[in-house]
Amino acid sequence: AKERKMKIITANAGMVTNYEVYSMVHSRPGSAEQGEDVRHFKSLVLAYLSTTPACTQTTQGVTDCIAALKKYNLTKAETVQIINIMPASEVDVHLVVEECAERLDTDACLDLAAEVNQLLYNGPPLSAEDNAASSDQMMMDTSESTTTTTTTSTAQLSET
Amino acid sequence: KEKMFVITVMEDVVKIHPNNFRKEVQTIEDELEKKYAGKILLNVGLCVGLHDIISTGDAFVYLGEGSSHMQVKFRLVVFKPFVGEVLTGKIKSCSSTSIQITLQFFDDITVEQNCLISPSYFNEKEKLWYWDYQENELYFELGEPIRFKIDNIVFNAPVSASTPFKPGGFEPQQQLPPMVIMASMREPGLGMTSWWA
Repeated sequence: AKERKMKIITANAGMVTNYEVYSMVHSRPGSAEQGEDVRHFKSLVLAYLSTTPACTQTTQGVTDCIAALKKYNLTKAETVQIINIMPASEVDVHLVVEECAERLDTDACLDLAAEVNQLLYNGPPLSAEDNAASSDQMMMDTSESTTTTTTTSTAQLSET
Repeated sequence: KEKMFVITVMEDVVKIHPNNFRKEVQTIEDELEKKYAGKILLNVGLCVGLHDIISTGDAFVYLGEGSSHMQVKFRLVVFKPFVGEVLTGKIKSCSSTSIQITLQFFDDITVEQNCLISPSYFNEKEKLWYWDYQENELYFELGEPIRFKIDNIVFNAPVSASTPFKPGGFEPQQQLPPMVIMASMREPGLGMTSWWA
């Protein structure tokens, strides 16, 4: 009877960068109350994100980067992906930007990659004192208003 | 267009035992994390955890029960990569027909043999795939970083546990994973990151 009350209000209410997810899981790593499964699962998410550039980024760096990338006329999805992968070369930029050759020439690709790497702080991974509340603000800024309001009255939850 | 991680807005009812009436917020958070973190929401994605609570509604106490049932509106962070997205993972295993990739928190990523960079061959002895590039055999190595592009995400509803009796014995139900990602590695920049460094 309780399962029938589970409802998806908006399946896709906005995008978040890997950095924001890393911050969130870092500040909510699971507790004894929530059970070992939750704690173990979240530690795997953290382990994965620690192998990506996200774990060395900062709120300021990501905000500055979003502003700097505006001049390249990227879509929100491309912007978020660029921040997530931190392109090291022209090839990386081409992987993420659709029809790249038509939109960005070689110089633009190299400038973009250089700027992203310069702005996204490459420092030690997040410390426990870092404020997850600031990442909340950033999520609102990067979210797209693709509000596909799917009020499904029976949502299904499955084990992995 | 979606992203690797998205926010999903949900509504659900949380049961709060009388012992926990004084720490309601914490209990709600705990119950939601317990219910959703690490679980797959069919046709949405893999729930990573609670982002925040938007609001709580009326609480009801049912006859015969001391617990209160409270309506909660909240946001979850969900792993929902989009078609065309480029991700980096590690190879979990190889077979003569496919490569399985893992992201540690999510395991069901398959690259079929015809989705590998061409030409690629399967070494039967080593049980590993390799890319034949300009007379070099570049191996797809287990446990090393590999980049791939998402082609398709398939959600499988759980198969019901009751199987009709078949003469000759019961057949074990093969449960498909609730969420499976089909991927490919066919362009420059994809495959082992060591090849492109």
